[in-house]
Amino acid sequence: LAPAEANARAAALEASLTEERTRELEAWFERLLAEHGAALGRIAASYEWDPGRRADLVQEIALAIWQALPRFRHECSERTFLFRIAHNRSLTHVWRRKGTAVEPLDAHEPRDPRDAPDELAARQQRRRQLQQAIRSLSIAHRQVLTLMLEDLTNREIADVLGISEGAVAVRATRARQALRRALGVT
Amino acid sequence: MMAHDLELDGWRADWQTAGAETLAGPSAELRRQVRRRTVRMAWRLAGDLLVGALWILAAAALAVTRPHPAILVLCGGVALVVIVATGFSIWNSAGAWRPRGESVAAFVELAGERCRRDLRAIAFAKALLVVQLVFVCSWVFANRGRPDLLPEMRLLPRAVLVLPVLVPIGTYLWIAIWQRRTHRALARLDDLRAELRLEQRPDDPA
Repeated sequence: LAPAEANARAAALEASLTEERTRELEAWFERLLAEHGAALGRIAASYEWDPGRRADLVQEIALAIWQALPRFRHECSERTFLFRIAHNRSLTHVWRRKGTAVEPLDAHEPRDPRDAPDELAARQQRRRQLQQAIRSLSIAHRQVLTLMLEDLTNREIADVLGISEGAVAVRATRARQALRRALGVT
Repeated sequence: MMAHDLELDGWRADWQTAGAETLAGPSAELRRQVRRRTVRMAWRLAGDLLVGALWILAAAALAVTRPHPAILVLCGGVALVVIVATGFSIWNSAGAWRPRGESVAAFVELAGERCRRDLRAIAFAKALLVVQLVFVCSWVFANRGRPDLLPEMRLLPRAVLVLPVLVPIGTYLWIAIWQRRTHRALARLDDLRAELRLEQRPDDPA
């Protein structure tokens, strides 16, 4: 899933790009990361709890996006395109690592100065529980849920995962039930 | 229904405020990474081609300078092995370069296809190793007592004589490790697929 051929193709493509096109791509890439970087990071976090390995995964996702960008023909939305790459890379990561154990997420999240300490602590606690619960789900549930939580429509989720909208709806219902169970919500 | 939406909104609020890893840094660094990987890939490919070409050139040179039937058979065999191996490699990788679709499902399908092709390559490598061993052993046996065929062999140190034993053993071990890794990768991929299809019941669409 990490084909060396892809690198060769990307390099061949890159070599054929003009300077102007390259600058355009760089600006586009920077904008995509600025707009969707946090979401891509959250998707990576749903697959990998270990901070070091997660950083590697995020780097792999960014690299894959950079390689795929020249081939993007706007046949789907940018979000769909990016999330598809993120899930593909993350699956490759899980495949190579034989899955990820469920561990507490380290809290290195930016602190909002407007939050009261209690409120902040409670929110961080909820966030950690949610992330842990999502990581404990099956990959099929995790994929649908993380995309739902990123505000994708069923149509977009179906495009990312390569399944029908009906299947997305069925999975979404079951994924929500599974998440409730994992969170201990009755 | 409304309670469900509120529930989802609550999860979304918690989820979307979670901090993210810093993504990658400037694109120039990524381009450098792509280049580095590409250069490594190019060197590997060039190395493979160079080794194959050197074997064929050496065989051709030997056949031209020493056109004895036994030498011609040896050179022909070496060239044939190199050509067949290269041809197989090209045939085996054809059509597995990119997924049929752009979705996660297509991506996983491609991974499985690559694993299956790896297993095919392993079976081929084993067969080729046996064919080479049989060919070389037969040639040596048929031409025993003819040191004049390859007089250069006498110049080589005696330690070189262990190579015909060590090289096949090493190659076999390498193939065995490759096979084990590929089987493991395929098993993990099957687990992954099973997990991805967990929610697909017979009544599910797609």
